[in-house]
Amino acid sequence: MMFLYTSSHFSLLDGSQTLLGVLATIVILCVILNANNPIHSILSSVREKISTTITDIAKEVVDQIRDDVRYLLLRIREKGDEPEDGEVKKGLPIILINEIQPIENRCNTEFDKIKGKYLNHCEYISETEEQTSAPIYTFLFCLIVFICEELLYYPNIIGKDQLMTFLLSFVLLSCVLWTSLWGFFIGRTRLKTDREKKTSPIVPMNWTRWLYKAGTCIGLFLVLYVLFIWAYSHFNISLLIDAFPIIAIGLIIISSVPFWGLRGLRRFNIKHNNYSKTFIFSHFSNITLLSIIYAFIVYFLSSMMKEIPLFINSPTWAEDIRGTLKFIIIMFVIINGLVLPFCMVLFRYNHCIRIAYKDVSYHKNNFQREIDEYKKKL
Amino acid sequence: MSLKKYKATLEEMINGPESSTPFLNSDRGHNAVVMQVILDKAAHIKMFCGELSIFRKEFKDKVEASYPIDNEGQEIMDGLKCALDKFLRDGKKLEIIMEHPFLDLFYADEIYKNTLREYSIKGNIELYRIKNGEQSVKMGVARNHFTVADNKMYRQEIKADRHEAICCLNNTTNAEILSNYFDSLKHLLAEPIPLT
Repeated sequence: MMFLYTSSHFSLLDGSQTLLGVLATIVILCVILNANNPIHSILSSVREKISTTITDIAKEVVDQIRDDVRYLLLRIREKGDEPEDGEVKKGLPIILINEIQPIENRCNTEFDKIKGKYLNHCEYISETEEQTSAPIYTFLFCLIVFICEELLYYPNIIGKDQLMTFLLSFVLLSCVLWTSLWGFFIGRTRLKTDREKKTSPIVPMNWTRWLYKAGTCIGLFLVLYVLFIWAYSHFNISLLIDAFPIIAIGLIIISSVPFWGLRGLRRFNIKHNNYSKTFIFSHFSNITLLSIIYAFIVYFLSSMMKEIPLFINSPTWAEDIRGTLKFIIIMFVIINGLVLPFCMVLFRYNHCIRIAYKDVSYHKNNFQREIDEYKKKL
Repeated sequence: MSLKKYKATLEEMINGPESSTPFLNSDRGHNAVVMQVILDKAAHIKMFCGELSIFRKEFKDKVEASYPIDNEGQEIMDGLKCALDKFLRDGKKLEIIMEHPFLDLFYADEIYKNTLREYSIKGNIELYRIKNGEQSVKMGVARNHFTVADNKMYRQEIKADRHEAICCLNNTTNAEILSNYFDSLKHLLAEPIPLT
């Protein structure tokens, strides 16, 4: 027997149903990007402020460079001799003007690009799918938890051990999925400064690198498994056995990465918003299905290998894990449904403005240096 | 300096060793001459201007008034019209971004309205305007307007009120900078003008 639960009336949430219900109600408000979405409303005003700031800092620098160039041109005109009538005006002053004016042109081009790049990036961040996908997934997650809670509560329902295993696997896989998705969100919305781009060219992800990652996962699984068996056979650490269901599910998840993860990872390797709500719904159903399969795999393994004490047979395990699982569920709903859709976007806006400042300062210094050289010459 | 002589000097320069020498373009008459030379020689012209004044009647009248001797002004302006017609007839391309376009773009001017309209529809002329709020006057120090052709010839204003400009007939480095500048304006700050 893998998970033993002792009480006939088993409640996973144990008095926290109302809290989870309230959280699910707030989360459902955040599934559409409109004025009724409190997170989106706050972030929209932040975005407007950031766009204005970026426009202002670019304008300030361009105005300064243009002023400097115009001043230099004026000085050249003052110093240069007027050509005699009857000639096309050429000569040193004109050559200097012809050298200095392009600085302003390059500056205009560069700062128009910078402004465009950052305003477009802010718009891109504001439209990222994760902002709505995370609350949608979290809401569906709450529904699954409520259904399991209801089933666990009924005394005459059989298979509650498997239900707990399913829930544990479902929660862990959801955490893995959303950790990956938010990780890819960070990677996808990361900007490099122009100075960084010059020094470190972008290396595109390819299959060799993915295979390397998959190989690392399999290797990690084998190492962890061997370590686990070795630790158990030598030290007989009871904690390892108590935690084995979690370890077993963790190892299965890691080992299955090459089979289901690569496709997912390939789909995460995106630079634009080309994954949709379908992606979220399909992953939600896949994770639900996988959790059912994992629950049965672990159940059959425990039935077949009773002589090997690798599966939990502590009667209090379900009680012990209940508190932790409840904590993880509530934290997942709060963090993934409410905190991250707000904080991640805010964090990316903040990142955008920091990089914009760096870029502006980098280009400003370059142009200023060129102008200073001409100032010295004159 | 007479406009005819100015034009002859430029035509001599463009084919000679001095083609890469920059020179100053001091007034509306010179502007018309340089534009005519560019239209004669180039295949693809990119023009960033305020309100396309060079192709307007007011501009023509001012040039004619400034160069009345021997009807030199009129001759140059007629030559400019012929050069534009030939340029477009030959299927060459003219891209124009206006910073402050008139609303009645095709009807304000008696001389060029039909040409501009006809070739805009045919696709030889592409007309853009800077989006509202992005015009440089509103943004601070004004941008200098320019014309760049075939990534080697250019004319860039350095004093807009006096139509004073720096020009060169063969400088790929500076012309490419201007061409990139034009492209970034077109893609980032401009929008096509609807043909009504």
